[in-house]
Amino acid sequence: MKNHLRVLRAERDWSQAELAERLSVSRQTVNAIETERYDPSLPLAFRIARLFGKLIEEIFEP
Amino acid sequence: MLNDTHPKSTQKLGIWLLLALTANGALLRLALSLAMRDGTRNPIPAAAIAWALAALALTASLLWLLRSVWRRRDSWALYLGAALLCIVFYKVGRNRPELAPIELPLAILLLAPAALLVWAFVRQVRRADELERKILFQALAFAFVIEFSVAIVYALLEGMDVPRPPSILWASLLVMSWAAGLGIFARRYE
Repeated sequence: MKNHLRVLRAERDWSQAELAERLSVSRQTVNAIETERYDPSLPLAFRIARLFGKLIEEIFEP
Repeated sequence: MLNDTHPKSTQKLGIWLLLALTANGALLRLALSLAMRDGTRNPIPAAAIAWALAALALTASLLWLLRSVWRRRDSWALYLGAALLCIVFYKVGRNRPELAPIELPLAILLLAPAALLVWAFVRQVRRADELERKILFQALAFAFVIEFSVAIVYALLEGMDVPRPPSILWASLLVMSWAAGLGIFARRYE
């Protein structure tokens, strides 16, 4: 699934580790989502959307 | 291995400690094996007792060090190492049909690392995030398929007078295929 996570993270000048800590996941998970190798669960997608103050569909594209 | 938020130095220390523990387990078992060589009839050589006590003391201190690594952050290496330790404890040394008095308490003592492994596994599953859990369960499924396939092949060959493999082979195969599975599936998401 396409997503804008990398761009959003770069806008805030966060490292993958920092974002991972904010989301309570591992850095590997953040990296896998950014590289579109892994689609997050709905609860994690909501956490990501809430963290960036956006709607899920603004971050993830089908 | 899976959780790359661990400091590398902690991981390295953990792995070295596990290797030391495993070698120590082998030494301990060999010392006891040496002590038991003459069976229950002859007294246990004092040197073997000294070696065994020294190895026990070293094990205790290594375990104490390992605890500090464990507290900082879990690592998958710990579980594989703990499994390896159990295997070495159980299997290095000769099997004898008769049990010396010291062997029964030793066998019960060996349940401790096995219980530790189960506890650590449950703890890690609870702490893992969704991707780590996915990798873990994929690796477990992989290990199950490998173990099942080998067991089926062996069952088919059993009627052809194939030598009986040691029981520990099944546990070792499970741990090794699980480790291989972790490596394979973790790489997929890198």
